[in-house]
Amino acid sequence: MERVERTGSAGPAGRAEGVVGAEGAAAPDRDGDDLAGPLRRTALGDLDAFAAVYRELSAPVYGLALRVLRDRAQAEEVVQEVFTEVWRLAARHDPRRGGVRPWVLTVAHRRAVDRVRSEQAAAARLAEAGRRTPESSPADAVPDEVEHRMERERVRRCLRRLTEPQRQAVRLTYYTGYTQREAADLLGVPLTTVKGRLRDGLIRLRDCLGVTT
Amino acid sequence: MRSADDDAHGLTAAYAVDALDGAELRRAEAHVAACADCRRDLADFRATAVRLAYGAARRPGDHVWERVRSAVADVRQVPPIAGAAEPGAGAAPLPPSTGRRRTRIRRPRVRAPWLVAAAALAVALVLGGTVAAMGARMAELRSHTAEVEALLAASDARLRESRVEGTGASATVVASERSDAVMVVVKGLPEAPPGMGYQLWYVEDDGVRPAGMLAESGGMLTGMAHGLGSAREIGITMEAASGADAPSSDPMRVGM
Repeated sequence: MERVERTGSAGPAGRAEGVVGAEGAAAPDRDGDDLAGPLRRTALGDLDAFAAVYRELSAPVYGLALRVLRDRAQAEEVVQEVFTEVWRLAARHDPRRGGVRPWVLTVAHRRAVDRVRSEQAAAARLAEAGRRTPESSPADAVPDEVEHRMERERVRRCLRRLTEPQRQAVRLTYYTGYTQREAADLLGVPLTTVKGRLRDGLIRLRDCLGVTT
Repeated sequence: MRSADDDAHGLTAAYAVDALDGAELRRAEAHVAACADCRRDLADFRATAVRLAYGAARRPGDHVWERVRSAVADVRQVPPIAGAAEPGAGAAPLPPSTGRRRTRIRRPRVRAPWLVAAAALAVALVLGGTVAAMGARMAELRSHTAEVEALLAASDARLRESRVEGTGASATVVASERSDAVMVVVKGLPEAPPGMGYQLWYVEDDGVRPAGMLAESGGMLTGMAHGLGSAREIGITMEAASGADAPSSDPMRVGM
C-alpha cells in the first residue's frame, strides 16, 4: 500500500519513486491487495488514487495493446479507453470476484483484440504470425525501459520453458489476438491440437511464474 | 487421458486469453458460470495473463496520462450495483460496451476498403504454409506503409516468392508496372559485415541498374524501389553500405 500512498498530486509522472517494487518480486500476481484501496478511492472520485492506479497499470496496458496492435496511436487510444472505463466503473469492481489487475488487463486485452479483429487489416493481423521467437518483436526493443525489466525477464524465461508449439499457441492468441480457431488454421493443425497446446502452455506458464490466486 | 474435463480446461484457457468467438465463446461463458473449478482455473489463467501483460509492459508517454485525466473529468462514475456481475469472470462486471468482443469498437480512422481487399489478395496469393511468413514480411514493411499500400492496391500488383539463386535465402517480390514500384523482402541471407550492405539491382536485357539498398529489420531485409523500366528480375549483391553504381560481383537473382 505504501507505494500507492506516495503518489500525491504529482500524478503518474513521478514514477521513479516507489513503484519499482511492483514489478519486482510478486506484486503483479498478488492480485487486488495493493490496488483495491486506490480503486475504492477512485470510485469516490479521488483523482490522486486514480493516478496511482494509472501509474501502476498503464505500462502493462499500453505494452500489451502495443504488442497486439503494433501501432502506438491505437495503443494509446486503448490506454485512454481502458482507464476511462476504470474511472467510470471503479465502484462496480468487487474484490471478492478477483483482483484489480486481472480486471483491468482483461478489459485492456479485449479492447486491443476487438480492434485488431474488427479492423481485419491482414498485414497487421498476421504480423506476429511468422515470428518464431518472442524476443524478435519490435515492441520488445525498448532497452531504456528498465522499470519492468525483471518481470520481462522472468516472463521470457518461462516462455522459453514451453515447447515451441505451446509458445506459439500462447503468443498467437494472447499477444497477437487470434482466436484459437484462427491459430489452428494458420498453423494447419486441428483445433483440438491448438486447444491442448494453449491450455498446457498456460498451465506451464502459471506454474513457472508461481501464479497463485 | 482425454476427457470432457480436458475439453473444459481447454475452453477455459482459451476464454482467459480471449481466443474464442461466436458459439464457442457463448459455450465457454455458460460453462464457466456453472463450473466452480473452471472459475478457479479462469482466475489462475487470468492471473497468468496479467504476468504476460507485465512481460510486455511499456510505459506510455506522459501525454497519455494528460489525455486520460482530462477525459475522465467529463465522465460520470457509475454507482455500485450489488449482484450484477459478469458470470464467472473473477472480476468486476463489464458493461456490454467494454467486455464483449462481438461489440465492435469503431476505429476513429477507417482504412479504405481497397486496402483490406488488397492485403487479403496479397495474402491469398501466397499458398498454404507461407502465409505466416508473408504476414511477418508485410509487418516488416510497415515503415513504408503508404507506399506499400499503394503498391498492393495497384490492379496489376503481382507477388512472387522464390529462392534467392545460389543461397538458402528466400525472397518475396511484389511488383506493379502501373504504380511503377517493387517491394522486396529477403529472409535468410547472412548478416552483412560492418560497413557493408545488400544492394538491389534491376536486371534488364542489356545490363543492371541500381535499385537501392536493402534495410535490415527484424532479421529480414526489405527494400522498395521505383522506376522499374524493362526490368524482369531483381539482383542482389553485397556492397559498401553507401551503395555502388555497378555491382561488384555477379548479382544473385530473383524473379519479379
